[in-house]
Amino acid sequence: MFTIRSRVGWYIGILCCVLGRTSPALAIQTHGPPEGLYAHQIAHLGFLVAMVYIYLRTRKRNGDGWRWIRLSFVFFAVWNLNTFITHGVSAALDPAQFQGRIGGLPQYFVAHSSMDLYFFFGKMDHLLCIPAGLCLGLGLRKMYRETQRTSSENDF
Amino acid sequence: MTFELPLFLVYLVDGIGSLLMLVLAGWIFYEAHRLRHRSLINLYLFLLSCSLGAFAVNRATGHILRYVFRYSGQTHIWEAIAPISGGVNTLIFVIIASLSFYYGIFRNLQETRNREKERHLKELQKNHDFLQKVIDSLNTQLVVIDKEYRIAMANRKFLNDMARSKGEIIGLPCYQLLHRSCDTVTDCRTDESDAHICPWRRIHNGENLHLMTHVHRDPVTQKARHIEISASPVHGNGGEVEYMIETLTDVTDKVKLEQIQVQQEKLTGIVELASAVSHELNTPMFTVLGNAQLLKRQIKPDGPGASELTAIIRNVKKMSQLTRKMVNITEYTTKDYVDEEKLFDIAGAAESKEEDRDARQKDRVQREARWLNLEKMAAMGQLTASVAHELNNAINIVLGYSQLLLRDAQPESQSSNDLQKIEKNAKQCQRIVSGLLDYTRSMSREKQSVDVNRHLEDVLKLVAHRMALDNIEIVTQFSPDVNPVWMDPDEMKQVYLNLLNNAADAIEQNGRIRVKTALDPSGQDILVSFSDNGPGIPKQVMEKLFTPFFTTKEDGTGTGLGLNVSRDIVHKHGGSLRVKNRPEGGAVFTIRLPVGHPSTSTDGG
Repeated sequence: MFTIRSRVGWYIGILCCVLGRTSPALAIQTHGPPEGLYAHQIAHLGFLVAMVYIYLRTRKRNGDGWRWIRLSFVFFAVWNLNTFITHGVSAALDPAQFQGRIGGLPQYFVAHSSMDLYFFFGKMDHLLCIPAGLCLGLGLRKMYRETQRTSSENDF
Repeated sequence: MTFELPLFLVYLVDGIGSLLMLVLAGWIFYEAHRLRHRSLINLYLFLLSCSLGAFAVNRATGHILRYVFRYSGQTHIWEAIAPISGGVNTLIFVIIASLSFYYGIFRNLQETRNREKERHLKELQKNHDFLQKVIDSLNTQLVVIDKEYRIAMANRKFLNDMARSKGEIIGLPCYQLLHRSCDTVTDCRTDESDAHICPWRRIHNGENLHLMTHVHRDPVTQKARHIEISASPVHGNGGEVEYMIETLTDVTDKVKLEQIQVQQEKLTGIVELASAVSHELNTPMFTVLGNAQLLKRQIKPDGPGASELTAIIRNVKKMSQLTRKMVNITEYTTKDYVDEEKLFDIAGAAESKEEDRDARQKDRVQREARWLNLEKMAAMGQLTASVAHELNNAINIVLGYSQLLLRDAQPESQSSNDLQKIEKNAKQCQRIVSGLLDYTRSMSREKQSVDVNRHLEDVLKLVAHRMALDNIEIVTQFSPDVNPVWMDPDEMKQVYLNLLNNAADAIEQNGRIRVKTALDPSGQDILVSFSDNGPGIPKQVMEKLFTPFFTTKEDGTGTGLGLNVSRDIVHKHGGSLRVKNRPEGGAVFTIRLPVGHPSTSTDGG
């Protein structure tokens, strides 16, 4: 009879043999470098649509908490839009547009067009996602307080 | 146009933003965690916050590491990490999008389910309202009582009659609401008799439907009300009885009217009997008078026995006056009897022609007429009873003096024969009047639940001596299944004695009387039979057997009222008395009496 340890050893051995003797499988299609970017961009679009959808679904909900939360959905939607565009623009940039060095980081960005300018300002996306997170946190906090007040009134 | 833009601004915003995002992630998670996750939207917000928090941590860490590695010239490390960070971000975006869309789907399902539930609730409410309307429209009280004897539901009629609101009576024990005197269910007896028990107990005993009359307290006046109850069980899924539905109808007026009718019948019986007695008394009374006057003429005015004969004559004359008085009472009673129909016609002509008002008016007028007649009959009955007592006293005086004179008279002499005639006829008068007196006495008697077998045993003890003298054997065959009967034991004793004496008279000597009790197969009645092995009853006698004053006994030994009175007594108990000849010889009298309370048996039929 095999012990558990010897059984695990056998499995690892077989796995190593299989992985060590791999060769290109023609049936599996290989994907080029832009695939990661496309997947990421599609995910941004999904996030954006989800935020718009959830905003519309919750627009009839009343209360301060919900107002803040809906505002956070708006910020997240705008942030997604901004990031989607910025990612798109950055893919088309020339590396020569990044000049100078601070350590391993470029010091200047040379903007030739309005899209380049958009890229520069779009890179500062935290100006959108920080307010989005802040609004969400505030909204949740207010909702919690409203719940507390309602339950204490009911208890009374 | 070319702009050279300083990237340190971007680095500054990115660095500070990343640090702030880390703080925000923790705060958002804390706030989301504090919200209770009982509703779908709160669960969504919690999961969204967790995802955004994870995204914030991943992104901020990624950005910080990028600056650290690139600034320090370790670009290759960052390039190895960057796809992982980006991939995680992508995954989180997908998760957030999925969460949002799934929330929408679940929310739609929930709303559809809620709408369905609301629709079902509305339908249920509609059905409930309809049923409530139906039971509220009933013109009889309806109440549902649970196993703990608590009221679970009641209709409007019940609430109105109880002068209570629904909130006040739901959950209230029925015995406290309906029988105010009961504090606990074990104390709850609506009547002294065992036959009159709680309907719930009857339902538990497996009776599906029961109609009975209870005495409840009026919630306002606290007066006793006669309530007719019909009870049905409500079975649970397991077949056990969970609730009892009671419909209650106030029959106090009906019961009172029945009592009036019974009383009226009794009083009418007295007056009718008094009329017959007056006629029956004539012959023996005038025989006494004739003989007494004849004897008085034969003796000197101051001779022995003259004063006694004078007293006899005086009292017979008094008897004659009293019998005339009774005849007058009878004539007055029957002549001025209030005709209910005629009274209604007179009253109705002046009143509205509307049908329902007519019915109510007729009911009221009939009740008033009955009361008028009852009052009059009661007065006449009382008068008849007092006259009967006076008559009895006069007869006793006549009898006493005649027996006194007879003691001193020469045996076998003419005067002794005359005095014997006087005594015999006086005794006949006494028997006739005693029948009337017995009837008047029976009016005030009360009924009770009686064990028939035991009662019969007591009665048989009374006749045992007579039966032994005549060498008559009494054979009893009592059934143990015979239930108690609601009866007047004294009246029924009179019936049994009559039947036993009649049987003994028919046998004369050396015979057998069989007394048998049994429960009728229907379970509603009990049967008591008295059979003898005498000669039986001839056909022509059978036809007149229950006719008042009809007797086959030798002149003077019977009044002819025994069987008539016995039959009336049995009828008053809601039963019947039948007679027939046995094929093997002799006669059998069978009494049929309803089991339990008379209202239970008669109403329940």
